[in-house]
Amino acid sequence: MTQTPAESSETTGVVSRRGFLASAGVVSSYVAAGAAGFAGGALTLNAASASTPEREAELRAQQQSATIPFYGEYQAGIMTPLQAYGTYAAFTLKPGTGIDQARAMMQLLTDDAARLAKGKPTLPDGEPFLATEPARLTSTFGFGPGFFSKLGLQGGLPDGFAELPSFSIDKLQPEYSGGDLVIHVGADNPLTVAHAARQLSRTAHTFAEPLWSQSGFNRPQYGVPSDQTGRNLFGQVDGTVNPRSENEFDAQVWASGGPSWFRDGTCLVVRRIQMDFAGWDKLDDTKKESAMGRRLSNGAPLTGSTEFDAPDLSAKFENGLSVIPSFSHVRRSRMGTDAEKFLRRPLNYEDGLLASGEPNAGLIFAAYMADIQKQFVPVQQRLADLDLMNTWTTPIGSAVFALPPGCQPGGYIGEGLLG
Amino acid sequence: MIRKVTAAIAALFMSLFVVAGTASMASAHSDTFQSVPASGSTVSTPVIELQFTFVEPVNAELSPPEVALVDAEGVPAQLGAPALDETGATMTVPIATGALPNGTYTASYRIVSEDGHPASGSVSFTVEGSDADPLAEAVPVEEEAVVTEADAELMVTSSGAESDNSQLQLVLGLSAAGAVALAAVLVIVALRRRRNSTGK
Repeated sequence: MTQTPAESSETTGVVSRRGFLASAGVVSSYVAAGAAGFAGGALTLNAASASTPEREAELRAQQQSATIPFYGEYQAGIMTPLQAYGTYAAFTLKPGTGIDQARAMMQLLTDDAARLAKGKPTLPDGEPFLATEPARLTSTFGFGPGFFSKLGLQGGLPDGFAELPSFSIDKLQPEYSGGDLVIHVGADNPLTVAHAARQLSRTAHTFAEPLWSQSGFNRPQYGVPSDQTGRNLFGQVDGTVNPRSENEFDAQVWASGGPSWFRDGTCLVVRRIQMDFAGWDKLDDTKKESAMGRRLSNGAPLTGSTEFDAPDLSAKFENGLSVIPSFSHVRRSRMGTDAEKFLRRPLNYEDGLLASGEPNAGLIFAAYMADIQKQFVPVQQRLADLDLMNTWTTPIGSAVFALPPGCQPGGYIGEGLLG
Repeated sequence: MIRKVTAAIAALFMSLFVVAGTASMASAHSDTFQSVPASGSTVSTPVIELQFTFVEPVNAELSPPEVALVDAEGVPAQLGAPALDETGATMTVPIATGALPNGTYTASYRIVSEDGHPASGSVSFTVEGSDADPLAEAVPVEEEAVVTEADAELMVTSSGAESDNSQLQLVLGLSAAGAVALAAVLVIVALRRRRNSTGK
């Protein structure tokens, strides 16, 4: 457990990302780790300690001022426990953009992100007061396949990094797909997210054209029981099988092979999944649970009683039928090898109503893994081949990005590739 | 004869649908309401296959059906691949070991209907007068001896399949699409008498 000087020198009350997980105990749940991490900054909302209005006001203020260090071994916003709000924005490099411009862009974005993470305005910032509540703000950057090809950097492509194959279930729309650059902003305050996304997008726009932007939300992490993973808009507990310990992050998320610049980087798959609420609502709970293979109440597998019980895919009822159906999402996603695991940081989206009167809503599926081909594609292919949830979900956007490792003060994100 | 029975059943369910269809929120469709052997029945003719007729076609492409058959002790019978007739609503599953020995059995299915709704259920029946070996000692018969093509020697129209869902409510809760599919329900369920019922 090494803490870099940069992390140690952050403002008081801050827990480094690595120390953060360690202090919580690596066996505790991802979400619990987040809550426990804040205990370092006295940010718990236990009933006993939050019983007075003054105390609650104090806690709320601390929540809004909580910071996640920008500089470090890894980029922030990946290992960081999921914030309540987030935006993914993708850009395409302007014609004629060369490595020098790309480098300048990443240096400026790095400077912006480092300031915003500390609750400081960017230079310049038209609304500096919106920067003062970082609320665990993180800004994370990544490069799409076009970034490498347009800049002549194909030699730096990470192992297994390429556009996804087209899947039979895909109905992709160009307005949610592709991109040369991605900026991901997350925070527990939606104003903070909007402000940071705007500042960073403005900087990027000097060098790149906006392609798409997707914003979403999760439940707040504060003041709610932290012993359960969040839910998607179908009411399902979503994200149970995530890496939680440092060892699991090392095994699943952080790149160790491939080009040297990419070491401690990771890959991001963003897929926009539209949900058919009218269709889903026609199912009773038993059918919903059989489609997922998990209980709606607490996310437990149909063979278990608590969320983190391992599903028993071989279990059968007395009548001979499998307890976790052959078509269930859980069975299909877990049939593969141990290598086929990754981190999910999903966001729910809700963009008003469709002409049908149904919500234009769904899931911004965001997954992080060291090698897309080895870890993600086999799972997605199995789910495309058979997963009853496909009946009510449709992928309408898809993009992949290679996220460089973090950097230290004075450096910038992507320096190993562009330096 | 077949047409008459089909029409009568369709008419019966159509009328139920009209009366009660809007009262139910449930709308799963493919739950069986016919099986051979019928639920609760005692069968003295050789049982070499299972047949389920659902109220809506099965979507085997979306999800291959799961079928299981166990005796009273929970010993599973080896089953062949489920086959659907041209309506897609009648599923026949050969028993790989040939005619069932005497005993009480539970046959269970889990299928997905055309609109993606999962459905599952079980039927129990008793076999009498069989001279087949016990399940545990049975060996699969040759491929050619497995009969998957039903004929109409015997018409069975009894219903009463058990299900983990409310069977009647599910049937009554049919959507318009389900009602159309009802008309396509053919209860051509038959037991085929085999020349060599213990053929091995």
